[in-house]
Amino acid sequence: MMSIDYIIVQIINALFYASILFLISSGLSLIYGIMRILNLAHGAFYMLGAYIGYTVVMLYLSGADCAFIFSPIIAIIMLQAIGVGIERGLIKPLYKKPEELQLLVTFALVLIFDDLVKIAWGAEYKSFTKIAGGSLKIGNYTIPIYFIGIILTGFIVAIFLWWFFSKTLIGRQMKASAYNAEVAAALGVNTDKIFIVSFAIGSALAGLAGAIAAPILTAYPGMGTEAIVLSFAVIVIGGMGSIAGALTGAIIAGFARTIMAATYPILEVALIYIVMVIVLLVKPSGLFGREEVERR
Amino acid sequence: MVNRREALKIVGTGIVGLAVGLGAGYQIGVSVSKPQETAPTPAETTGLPGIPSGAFKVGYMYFMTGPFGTYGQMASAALELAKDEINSAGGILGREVELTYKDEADREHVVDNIVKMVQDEGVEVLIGIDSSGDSLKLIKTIEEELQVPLIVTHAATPKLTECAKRKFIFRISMYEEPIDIAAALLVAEKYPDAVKIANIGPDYAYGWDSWAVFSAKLEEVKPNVELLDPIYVKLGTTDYTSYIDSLIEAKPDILFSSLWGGDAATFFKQAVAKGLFDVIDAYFNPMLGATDTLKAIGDENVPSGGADIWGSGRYWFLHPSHNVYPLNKKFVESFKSKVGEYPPYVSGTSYTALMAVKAAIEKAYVEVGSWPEVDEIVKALEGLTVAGPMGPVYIRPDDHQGIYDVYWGKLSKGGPEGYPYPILTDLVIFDPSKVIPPPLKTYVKCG
Repeated sequence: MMSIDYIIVQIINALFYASILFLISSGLSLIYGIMRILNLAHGAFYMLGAYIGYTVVMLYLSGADCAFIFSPIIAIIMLQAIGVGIERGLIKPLYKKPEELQLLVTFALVLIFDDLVKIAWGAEYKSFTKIAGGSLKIGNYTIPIYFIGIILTGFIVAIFLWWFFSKTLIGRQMKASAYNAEVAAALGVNTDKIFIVSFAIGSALAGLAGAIAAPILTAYPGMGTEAIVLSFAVIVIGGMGSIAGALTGAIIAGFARTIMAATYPILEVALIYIVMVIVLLVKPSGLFGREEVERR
Repeated sequence: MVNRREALKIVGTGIVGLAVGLGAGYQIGVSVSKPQETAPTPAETTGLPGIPSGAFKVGYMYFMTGPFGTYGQMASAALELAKDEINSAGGILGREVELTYKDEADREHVVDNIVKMVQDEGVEVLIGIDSSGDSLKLIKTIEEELQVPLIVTHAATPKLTECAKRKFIFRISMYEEPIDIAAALLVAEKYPDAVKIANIGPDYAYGWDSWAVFSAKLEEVKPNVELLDPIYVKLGTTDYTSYIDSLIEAKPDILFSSLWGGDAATFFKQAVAKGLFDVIDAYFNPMLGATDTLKAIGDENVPSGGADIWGSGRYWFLHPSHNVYPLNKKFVESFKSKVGEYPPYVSGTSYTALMAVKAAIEKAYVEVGSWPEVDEIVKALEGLTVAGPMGPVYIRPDDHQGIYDVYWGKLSKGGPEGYPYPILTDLVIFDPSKVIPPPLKTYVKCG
């Protein structure tokens, strides 16, 4: 019979993984929901966040505890800048172009960033030699405090996003634009500004995810691809364009993985995709998705 | 609006600039790729009879890029070191050694690239192969189609050499079976009260075979063990936390793990963070003694107290001791000054492979009187003992497998000994007759 400690510990594992996935997926969902652009390069932003985190913590501050606070902040700032730069330079020209072109361009960015990262940092796994904070013991099990920190971060971001989209003017304008871009523009919403802000927030979220996940999951070229595939499954399950959907999808993914790892490791990777297929068959727009209304 | 004169000026400047640039680039390219040759080439100096003119081409294949890229880069550096040593002493019978390679990371073209090196580039001997799966894939091509020697220096599946006697395939590096058998003996000797044995390894041949050998031998020498269901994870998994907690739940006494490279380090650090090593008595990882893994783990993550952490590998740069075996000392020093790092095991084995090729060709030349044919090189390799950094390596005639010291060592902090990352200490060296099965006998299921 499984002890209650064991169940608590596995729940924390699931939530930790779900928090990282939520941060990545919410950014992806946001960009798609508002801009209707499938940004494959989102995984590359996650990877850049991880490498920036590695550089700040290991290379500049030699693993000092305070570095773990700086690195997400620096990652957010840098990824916002990079994100906006890419948006203005490469994405803006693609607004009205066919989706295949957007996919090609953003996929090309993934490949380019993978190589750039290898040139700048080398091809090996970049490992953190320690993580900040101690640990707490639950029976036989040890939880690094860092995990709790990650779960809290996910929670805070979720609350922030909810507040942003329901209480701030620009947030509500973004939601309106997601609903119906033409009408929103006609009512005086500056669509250009909305797009920049969406891309900036989306990339910042991916960068944040990378910077806080890297100490546990290590940084390596190609990590973005794995992340983006999972995130797509998450937002398909949750409904593309919905933050609540990203949260739900991420939690489902986190628990599916953990339960499988503990019981049938062979299915660990497959389960989330099986869930995705089931959701697509039953409610193709996702759990929180809206039925697509012809617009644009 | 540009008028015709300006246009011509611009085009003209452009063409001149392009020509200058191409010319400069060519010059730079030529001077970078070809070393200054002021001394006569080796073939011109010795004048031995029956030696073909032209360089002796050796081709190698390892993962040169991607997440396993360091393995190839380090093997390549050692091959370059061996090549330079050989060439500066006159080459092989006066023939200069030239190296060429293909990237094993090009997954769809592993076989094609090997064929290309031999048929298109004139490679006469092949060295290489990181992945056990790839080595098995190449058996038919090497044995039946290309029929040139392939000296394997990394891929460790027993199936390569112990399931049938190969004609052209050799392996210099220790294969996994003796290392896994030695681990079982160590468990029986040092942990007599251990009962529950767990496993976590990568979900492919290397992971399955390692556990198959270790658990089979362990059941032989310690019949009361309880083998828990082995856990196999996808290569490249980065989140082991759920597995670690389910292992803690199962409370094994011994944990065997064939995770390697970056995966092993990620698992290890997550295991330390989650206190796994406070629950088990001992941890055995046959690939823990890899310098890239040790570097990634770092001294900070060497647990103090708790489980004994045992590691092995195909060559540990501190064994044999530098005081006792100067060749190892010289190799380690040359490698460190060339590359800036201590040599990982892939470097020790690839260096020895090229030295073995040289020794075999020279031995065959003495018998034959001219540059040996492939069959004669193969015959010379069988039964050859070549001095490698890991000690003398004897190539068994019956299975073409290299025999040298099998060891397990304990993980310790490297800092106090003056090393930048953790090291293995207190090496236990095993009597070969106790851990190395006779040729063509294996616990792993062939076919």
